[in-house]
Amino acid sequence: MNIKLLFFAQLRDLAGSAVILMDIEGAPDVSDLLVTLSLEHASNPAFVAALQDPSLMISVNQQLVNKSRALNEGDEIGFLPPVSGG
Amino acid sequence: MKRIIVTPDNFDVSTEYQSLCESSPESGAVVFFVGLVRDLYDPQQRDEKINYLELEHYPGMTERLCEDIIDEANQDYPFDAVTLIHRVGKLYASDQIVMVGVASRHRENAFQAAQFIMDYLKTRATFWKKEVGQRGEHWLGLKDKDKQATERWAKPMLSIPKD
Repeated sequence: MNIKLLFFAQLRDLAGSAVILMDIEGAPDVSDLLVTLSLEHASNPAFVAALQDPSLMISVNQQLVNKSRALNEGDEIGFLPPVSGG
Repeated sequence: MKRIIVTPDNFDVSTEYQSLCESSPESGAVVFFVGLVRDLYDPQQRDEKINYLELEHYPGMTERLCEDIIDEANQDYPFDAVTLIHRVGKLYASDQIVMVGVASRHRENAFQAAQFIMDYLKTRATFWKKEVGQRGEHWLGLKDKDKQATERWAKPMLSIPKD
């Protein structure tokens, strides 16, 4: 299934790109996606550590979700570090 | 009236004041807050300066979250009109970053709503700020004092839904 990953702020710096288009197998949820990404980027330990940081928030189609959220074809997944607006 | 604007462009407070007042003839009170870029990391260490801030956001999600914050403020502290402008991009010392203007019948709700909106804007809206200066480049996280500021309102912060 095709999904779109969006990385913001320090996550984008660590990922090296703001957007990654991904074709992921099976019926994954958010935690499966995090495992797949961590394996694919094992050569980038700072990025893997950031993916596992408990302060990281994940959105699916611009709604915050927990890690058990199932993913669907065409979903837009946002990787959101702690916010600092205002 | 509810205006939410996320833009790289500067804004003019007197123009915004004028249009807020004109949109809300029933209001008897207007409160404005404007946030500016500071040039120091810490007032105690006057020798280390910030050159600029780089602000980014999640287009679409940010505007929706700002609208949620405004709607919650309006439930608890009903007001007549609001303008919220948040800038993104590269901003230098003394530049305007953010403004919230609230018009209400009486002053109490305008004060409260403006403060509520600012407190939650810092903790619940998808903006990120990078400081670039003599200490290098750093993405800022949520500050403890901002977290504490939202606690007085007894509403949840931006958080992941429970299982």
